[in-house]
Amino acid sequence: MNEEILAKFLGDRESLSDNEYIQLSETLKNDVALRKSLQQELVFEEFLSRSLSFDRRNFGAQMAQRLRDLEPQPKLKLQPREVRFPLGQQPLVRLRTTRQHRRDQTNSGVLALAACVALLLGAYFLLSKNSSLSVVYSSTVAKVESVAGKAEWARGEKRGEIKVGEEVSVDDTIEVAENGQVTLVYPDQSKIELRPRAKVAFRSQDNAREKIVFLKEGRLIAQISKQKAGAFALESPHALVKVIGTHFSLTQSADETQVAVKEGIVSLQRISDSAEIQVTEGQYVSMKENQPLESKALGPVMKELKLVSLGSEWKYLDNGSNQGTSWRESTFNDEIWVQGKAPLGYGHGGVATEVKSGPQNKKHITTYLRKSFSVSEVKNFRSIQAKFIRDDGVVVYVNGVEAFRSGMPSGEISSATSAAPRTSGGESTVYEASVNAELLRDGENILAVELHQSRGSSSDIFLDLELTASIEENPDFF
Amino acid sequence: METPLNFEKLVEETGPQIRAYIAGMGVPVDDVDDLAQEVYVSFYKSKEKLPQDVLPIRWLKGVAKNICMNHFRKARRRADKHLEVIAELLSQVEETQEQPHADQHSKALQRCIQELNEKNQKLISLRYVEGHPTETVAKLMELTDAAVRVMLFRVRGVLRNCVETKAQGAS
Repeated sequence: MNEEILAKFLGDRESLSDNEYIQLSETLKNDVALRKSLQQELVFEEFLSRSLSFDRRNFGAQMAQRLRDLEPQPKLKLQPREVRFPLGQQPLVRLRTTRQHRRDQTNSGVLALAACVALLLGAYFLLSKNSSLSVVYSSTVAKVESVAGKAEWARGEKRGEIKVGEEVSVDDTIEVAENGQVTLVYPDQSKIELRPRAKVAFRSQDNAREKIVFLKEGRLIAQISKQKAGAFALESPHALVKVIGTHFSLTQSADETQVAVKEGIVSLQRISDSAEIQVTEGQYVSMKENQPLESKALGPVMKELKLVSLGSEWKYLDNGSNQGTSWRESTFNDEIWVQGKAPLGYGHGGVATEVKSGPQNKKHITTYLRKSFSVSEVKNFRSIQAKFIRDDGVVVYVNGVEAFRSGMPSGEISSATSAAPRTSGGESTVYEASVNAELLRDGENILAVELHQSRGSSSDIFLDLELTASIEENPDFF
Repeated sequence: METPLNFEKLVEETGPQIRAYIAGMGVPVDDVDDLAQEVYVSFYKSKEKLPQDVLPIRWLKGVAKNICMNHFRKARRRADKHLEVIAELLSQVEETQEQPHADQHSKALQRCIQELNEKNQKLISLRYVEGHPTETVAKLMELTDAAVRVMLFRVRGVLRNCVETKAQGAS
């Protein structure tokens, strides 16, 4: 028997020609040993697939669910598997097949867990009183209206590049490349835009008219025409989304599902605990496990960005010299300064880098420190906050300009200026100060600190400092 | 067989054998689990009819054969009419005594894969871990489809011998 024919049969049944099939059948009829050998090959291939493929390891769980589906109806009703209409309509039970269920489990461990839980949960539909359009239901669920960049479809073992005009059928999956975008149009003119890196699967219920789009990861933008009740459903590994006539985006990352609504209302239900929220026009929801569901207005949001962290590496000069003012500038060359990790100081518990104190009873009054850090998009910085522990006093400069001082007298400061006598706060007090965001620039910035001793006989100095920017961001949902 | 719990245990105990039996009739791996589920559903629905003196596994295999043959008859793909003939021939093969589903086989498989060279490990990973079809594997490995099929055929042979040897040694 030709090895290639056997290899083709084992590797891809579709690749065999009719003649090759006939040749194989005839040989098998007359060669019992070959039959046995082929069967062993087939069984071993199944063993390989069952042992190695992630999505084939849950057969027992899938079967258990199928069995529960077969139990008498009253028992089914005890399980929260129904889809209900909040406006008092009759419930529609969503009996998902395990075949669909298995396909849900192909992407990740999280996906597998979520899909199992999904079998026990349902979602609430919203009703549009004015909905009047019917939907054409067939194995073809949508057509490819446009393609930019690269995207692939998969249908069973077959794969191919997506082209305009092609039909997307139930059970197909689509993967959009890094730079790709695909727009699908449904018979009722509903549109779904699949954004770069989106992975989706298409399904429909066996005997229901639901169209289900399962977003495994990435983002899609949906413009859904008004539907008859229950006609359009989207799912992510963590959420069920029911819509009737709306424009919204659905984004799925490893541990978060986001829904942002431009028009209409979307009902979102977390699969793990059935927590539910309605997202209205101009709102969005970021859904994570074990976090409260809360809708927020679409628009700018404030985020924090750490510019300098506690415990950072600093350059420092601890020889008691007078550095004048040039050391504060960003152009100053601090290459010969020593580097050490904060907190810096001496005579103080918790110091990571011990600096030189100078002679007994005539300690250095000033120790100089510099820290460079890079930022971008400074225009989005709304405020900057410094938090620091200092002993005894500090003057802090950003790019050569004084940003704030703490524990220091007012007026001109020199290397001989002692810190002000402590009036409040202990050695471990965390102080805060605001920094003018306009002192920063895109690219490299220099934070320069002069740390002053209160008197020559003092036993300790200490400094650690962090700088945090508040940034205004416009989340890009569409 | 009286309670769903017992039935689930039956699935757990016989699932690997039934799936292997279905695959052994030439059903593509991607369809094996779906058909196996149909077998158990059919069995579940008619479990009261199971004669007392028949082992469930025998009954399940009978159901599996019928479901597989029906699957090929009903399917519309070109290959299925041929597959029906081949399935009938393969179903006549005397059953293999032991299907490779035991833990020791799985452990042996992992060790055997480690012993493959890098190229063959990649081949196995793309085909069976990631589940890519042959033509995608060929693209990713910059080989022809035919070369991938033959390589897979040979690597499976190496793995099968290795697994059997190691599993026998372990037992």
